[in-house]
Amino acid sequence: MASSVIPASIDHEDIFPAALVQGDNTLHSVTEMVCGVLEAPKPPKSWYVIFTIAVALLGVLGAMIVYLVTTGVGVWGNNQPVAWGWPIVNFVFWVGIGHAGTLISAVLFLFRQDWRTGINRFAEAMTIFAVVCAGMFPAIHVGRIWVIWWVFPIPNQMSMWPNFRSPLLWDVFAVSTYFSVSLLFWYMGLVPDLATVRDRAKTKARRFWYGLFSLGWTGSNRHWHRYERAYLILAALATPLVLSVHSVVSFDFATSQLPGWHTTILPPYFVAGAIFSGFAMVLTLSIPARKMFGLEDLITARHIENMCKVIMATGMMVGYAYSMEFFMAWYSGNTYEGFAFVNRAFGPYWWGYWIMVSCNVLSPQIFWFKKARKNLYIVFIISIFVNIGMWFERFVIVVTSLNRDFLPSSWHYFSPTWVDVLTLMGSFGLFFTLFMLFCRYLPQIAISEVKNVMPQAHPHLDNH
Amino acid sequence: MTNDKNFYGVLAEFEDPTALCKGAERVRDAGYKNWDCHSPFPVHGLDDCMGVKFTRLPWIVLAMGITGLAAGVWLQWWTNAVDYPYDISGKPVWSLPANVPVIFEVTVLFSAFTAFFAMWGINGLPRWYHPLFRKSSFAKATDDGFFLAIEAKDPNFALDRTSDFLNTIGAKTVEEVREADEPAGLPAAIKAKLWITAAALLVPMAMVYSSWDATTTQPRVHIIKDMDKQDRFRAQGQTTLFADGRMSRAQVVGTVAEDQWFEDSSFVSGKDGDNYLTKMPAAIVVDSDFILDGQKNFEIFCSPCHGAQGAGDGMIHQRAVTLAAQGLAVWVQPTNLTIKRIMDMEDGKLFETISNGLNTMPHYAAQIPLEERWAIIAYVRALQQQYGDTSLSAEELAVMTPAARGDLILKQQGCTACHTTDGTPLVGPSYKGLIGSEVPLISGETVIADLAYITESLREPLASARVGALAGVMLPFPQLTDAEIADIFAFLSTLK
Repeated sequence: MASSVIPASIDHEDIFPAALVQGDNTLHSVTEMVCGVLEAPKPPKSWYVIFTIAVALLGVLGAMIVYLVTTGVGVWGNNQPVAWGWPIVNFVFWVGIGHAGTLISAVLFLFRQDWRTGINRFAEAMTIFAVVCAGMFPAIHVGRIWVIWWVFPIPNQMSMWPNFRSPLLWDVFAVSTYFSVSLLFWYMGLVPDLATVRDRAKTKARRFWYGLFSLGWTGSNRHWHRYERAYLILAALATPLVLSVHSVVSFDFATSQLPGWHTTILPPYFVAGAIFSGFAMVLTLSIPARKMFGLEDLITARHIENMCKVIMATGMMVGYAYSMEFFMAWYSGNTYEGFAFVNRAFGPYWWGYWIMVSCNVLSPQIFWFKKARKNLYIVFIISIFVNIGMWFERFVIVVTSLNRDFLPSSWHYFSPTWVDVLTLMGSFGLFFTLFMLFCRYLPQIAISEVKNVMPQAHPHLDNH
Repeated sequence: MTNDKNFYGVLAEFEDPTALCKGAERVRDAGYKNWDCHSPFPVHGLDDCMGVKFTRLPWIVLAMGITGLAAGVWLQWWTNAVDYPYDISGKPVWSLPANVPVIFEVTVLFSAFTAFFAMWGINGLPRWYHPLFRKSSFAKATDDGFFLAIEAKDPNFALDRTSDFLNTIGAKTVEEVREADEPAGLPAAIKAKLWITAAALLVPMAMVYSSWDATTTQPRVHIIKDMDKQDRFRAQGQTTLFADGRMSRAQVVGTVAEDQWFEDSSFVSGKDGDNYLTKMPAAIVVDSDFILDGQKNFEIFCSPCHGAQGAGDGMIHQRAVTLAAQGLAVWVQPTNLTIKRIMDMEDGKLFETISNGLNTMPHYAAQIPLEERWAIIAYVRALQQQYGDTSLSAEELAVMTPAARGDLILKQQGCTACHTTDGTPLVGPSYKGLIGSEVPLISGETVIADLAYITESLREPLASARVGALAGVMLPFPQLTDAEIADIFAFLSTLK
């Protein structure tokens, strides 16, 4: 075995202060561990349970969409003055979750954070599925979904073009670019690993399908050379992209004249929130998954701890943003802005605001304690809290700003309908269906990247 | 052995990345050109050991990134400022700050796609077959094997010498690799299916393309109705909802809308009781300003058909006559407003005609305010004074023959707008040869055109409409006396 030969004279602890891969693993055992998951004749029982629930919820989503499209958006609770109800809340929620993947893959890659390799595939897959869920909501929210192509600049018989001065159109470009680039990034990372699965395939079908998608990869070093350069370029492109996407999403709000929305803090605040919620979702997914598929050596306690630290940091950033919004509302002296924020914390939706603050600002504070960061149960529960809190953050921004507009006679207490609720639940069905299929049929860990950060991978040359 | 055209080269396996790097350095130094290393992950430092030149990929991405930036600027400028400019909240059609986000996204999109596709392109992938795949040991190249392959086409290659060389530089094993004897490729059946599928995919595109400029007499297929077609009652349509079958509902008897109540109801109806007003309502003061106001509205609403001088020869009439001559239209000439019949008509009757329309003339109550309708009548009276018939005195008429009087009456009543005397059919039948002929009526009877028939046609034209006539177009002429009708008959009898 290649990996068994490591010159004893080299002290790897000097180069790698903490092992990124735990246990007595070799290059081959990493391959075995990751490929074993998708080569197992049957997935674990828990996979079936989650998959069944997810598919059932996906069916609910399908039914809700059919009901919506055949009936009209009146089946939702949206109405004046809250014309942007849950669909936009859900859109921002999902697109926010979709940020961690590219952030982990691209930004941490550029900063040479090698610990990212254990979780990046996971996070990228999560990103893509979350963006799928996100993109669905504005698409069905337009009502006449069959003319959704009007948002793209497609030559047509009406000689009509979209309005590029609208932040909603910026959103179309930002989200679809983000989705495309994330998909390329994810797939490119997958190709060498698909080749690994192809080369181990026992059945004709596996050889065909994994062979087809691995594009004939041979591990040629001349190919690796360009591959790594392309990966670096994509990472460098994806980094500003990931920051732009949620900034543009925040423009939907910030460029309007509505008190509570019309603030310059919104873009950075949204980006911080996106990273925050994205990392929480990575934790929510990876803690059970590493257990379910026996990947504890690759997604290690160190990964979990690092992610907890990121959550704590970004949680305090959003906490700062919450307080700064209040400060600006008071300091600006604008009556309407002041009212919007008092209404936010003490108005009819006070409960939403305080759920948000408790989940997002207070609950991550427990991660100051190493014991909490090491306790998977606590980490898992906090990650769920953060997911809930971030959904409520978007709810608070959308609904509390709209429900009491300039004209008190049109004030209206927004309530969702059962269709709203089931559609949100259904979107989780879509997300988990895709995620469970990913877990079963694709390598969950970037095999070649993990090998690359193992001590065995580094040649020891005299001239180096 | 190297003459064997199916011989690919030799494949050597090395123990670990270190051995591979050291071996690669030796192969590089030995001057080999067509060779490569294969490893499950990019081995850092191997590029230098192999002497791999730095890729040109970044420059390609840069070029395409700049292209994307230009495309983003151009797309927004051309679509929003040139091809389809429209005003949104008074924003300028072209203002760079609002266009920056999309420019950025398009730049990133172009660059990322280029980085991805150009990388695979330069690598010569996808290429699903490779001779090395024929070696089962090569499967380890994506697991934990470190390989070095030298191709037979390398000028330095000689099987024995190269194999020995690889053994001396630390290779664990050295294998010979041959291409398959049969050329690799898809089975013919699958290939044929792929071609058929590809061709079939062109069909819908061709259909879309061919219908791009095509015209059809069929209505558009509405898969989704949107608001183009709605299940609703149309204002002028039929319905089974009401007993009279009409969708429009009349006002409830006795109701007056808030802004339609006038103390002098004749001002609104043109009637005093059941009789038409013979002069302007009391509230109207006719002066030159009033007549000029009438002229303005006459020229807007009336002159297109009735002509600027009211002679019934407006632009629409002239156009319609041209079309009618080509058989493309059926046309009733607009009434000449300066003939005796209209000059004798009551002001109230004229007002009612303008308000409610008559025959083919539409109603103008919705377009022309009440007072301006009266102003139009004042202007029509002015036109009649200028251009109207000069009446003959009773003495002058008395000395004329009955036929000459009949000819005059027909002109004064405007009958000749529809009926000719020379046999040419217009909207109505010609008078030539009418008297004494057999006339088939729409009631199924056939009558001889005599005085009784002529009288009935003038008094109740609908009851005596002939087959092929535009029933209902001709108005009744109750104002004609029996003596006048006799004169008309005398004149018609002369037209054989």
